Amino acid sequence: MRSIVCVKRVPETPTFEIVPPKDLRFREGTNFAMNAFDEFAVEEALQQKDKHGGEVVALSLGPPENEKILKDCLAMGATGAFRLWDPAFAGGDPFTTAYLLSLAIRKLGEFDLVFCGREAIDGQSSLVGPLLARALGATPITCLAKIREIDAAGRTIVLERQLEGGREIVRAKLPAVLCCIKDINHPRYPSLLGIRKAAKIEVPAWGAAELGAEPARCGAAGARLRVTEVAPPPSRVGGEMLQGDAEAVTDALVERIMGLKIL
Amino acid sequence: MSNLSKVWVVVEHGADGILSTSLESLGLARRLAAAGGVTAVVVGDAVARIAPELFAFGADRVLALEDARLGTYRTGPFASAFGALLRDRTPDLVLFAGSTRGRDAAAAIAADLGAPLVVDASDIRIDAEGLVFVRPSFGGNLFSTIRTAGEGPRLATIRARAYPMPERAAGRTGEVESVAASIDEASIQTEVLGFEAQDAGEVNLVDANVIVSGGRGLGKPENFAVVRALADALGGAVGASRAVVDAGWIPYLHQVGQTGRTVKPKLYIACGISGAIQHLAGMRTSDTIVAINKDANAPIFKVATWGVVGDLFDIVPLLTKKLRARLGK
Repeated sequence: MRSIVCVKRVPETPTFEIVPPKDLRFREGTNFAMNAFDEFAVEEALQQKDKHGGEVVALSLGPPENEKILKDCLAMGATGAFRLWDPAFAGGDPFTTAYLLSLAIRKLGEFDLVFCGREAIDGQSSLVGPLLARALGATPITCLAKIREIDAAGRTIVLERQLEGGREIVRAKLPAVLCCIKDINHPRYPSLLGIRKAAKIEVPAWGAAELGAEPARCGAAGARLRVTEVAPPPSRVGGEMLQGDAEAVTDALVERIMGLKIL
Repeated sequence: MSNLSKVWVVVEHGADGILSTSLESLGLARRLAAAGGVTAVVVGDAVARIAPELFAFGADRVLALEDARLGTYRTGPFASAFGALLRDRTPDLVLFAGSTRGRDAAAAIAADLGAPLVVDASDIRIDAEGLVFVRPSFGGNLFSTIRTAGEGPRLATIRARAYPMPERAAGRTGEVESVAASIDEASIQTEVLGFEAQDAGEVNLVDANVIVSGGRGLGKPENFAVVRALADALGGAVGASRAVVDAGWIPYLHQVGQTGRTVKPKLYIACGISGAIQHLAGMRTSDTIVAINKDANAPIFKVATWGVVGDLFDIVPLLTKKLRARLGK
């Protein structure tokens, strides 16, 4: 089996200042790491490799700093990693990201599964996985909660999707792009041996030329969504601290809650 | 720019009726569309049953997209049929519910049509240069104003409770048009084998008016009973912090926050939750927030409408009892 896993480097906490009109400056000390949902994607790809054999290739779109999270994938057990970057890729959106990932995956050749996280904790669009699936002509599977079985010869997979109120059981055609939720597994920690191995594996960087990317579909030029302004959330007003013993504060709370007239 | 001539709302409906986000979207569509410009699109065979409600909540027309293969939502056949309809009718703006299904459908359509899609739009308005979208990111810590590039329909998914429920005008009517779906067989990539329900009533966080959540302050898993009792008294759903989900006290389905659900109930009651930035990210846009915690310095109090510093085991059961009495339960 041949699997691809797509990972994004994100700030672990939203500790930024807004630089008007539309830029963010992250505070010193902000930790950047692999998107939490992508760790589940990596783990799931590796578990399927453990079961069915084959390879797991990690991809990430971004500047040289992104090499760290690709090394993390290798240390966990991925068999290869590629970083996609070119100055022309800057200022993109989920549409340009999915386009560039699709070019990289095609360049890598035949594949069975692509694993992504449900969403990135920074942009939270949850779009790259499903857009990538359509670009590759693969089956898009959002909210993957469990893989039941893979029939590589029959080119199908049976899986569970987490919907509101329950699990949907689906048989899907391969290749498929699977967007993993948190509940799916417990990501492993890289072993010391894994870290040592990863240090020796080279992570090639592919730019626009290597990918054969059309300039008009990359970065700011290709973005369909243009952020013109960013702002902090409206600050919450109120903040009344209720004083007194349990009797007094619960009386006060009951009056206030009933006063909302929503019950 | 003047109001849009064609705004579509893709209606999500099930056994328990029309999703409230779809009705809220009709209200939004009403504000953005010119007179007569709001079309509700219904997929499947429920159209006769729900069309009167859609008119009452603001639709001018109902388009029924019918085909047995669209019975249970699947990405492939929906995208094939609805994509063909969009290419043919070219609406200016299409609104989907921000549900699992709505997000899935909108993404596939955006990919196929090359159309811009704004996920989780918390505001959509029209100014001199065209459509303007606002959406939250970074767990509600940042709001971005977005303009779209290119031609063709604009797509957006609408977050639950981001817009007011429109007034229901009983007796309002309109035209129903049935369209036979055109589905490319090659688009059918999946087969739904079944559905395994989970305790939905208790968990349905996204639709809940009231959510009562518990955290580490509960001390042990059994003490979630205190949270459940208050949720039950208020007809609300039960939420949880990441810490207690990771500790295995309660299933992931209940998790509110950055790696769980983002919620916006009318009332959110946090019991024994300190308010890590990842938790606040998932609930800070709730209309009213009540926090009960024994640590006066807990960050949850920074977003709370009303805060109580104290032992939740003294306060929550007493609050439950008093609210039950007031609600005649």
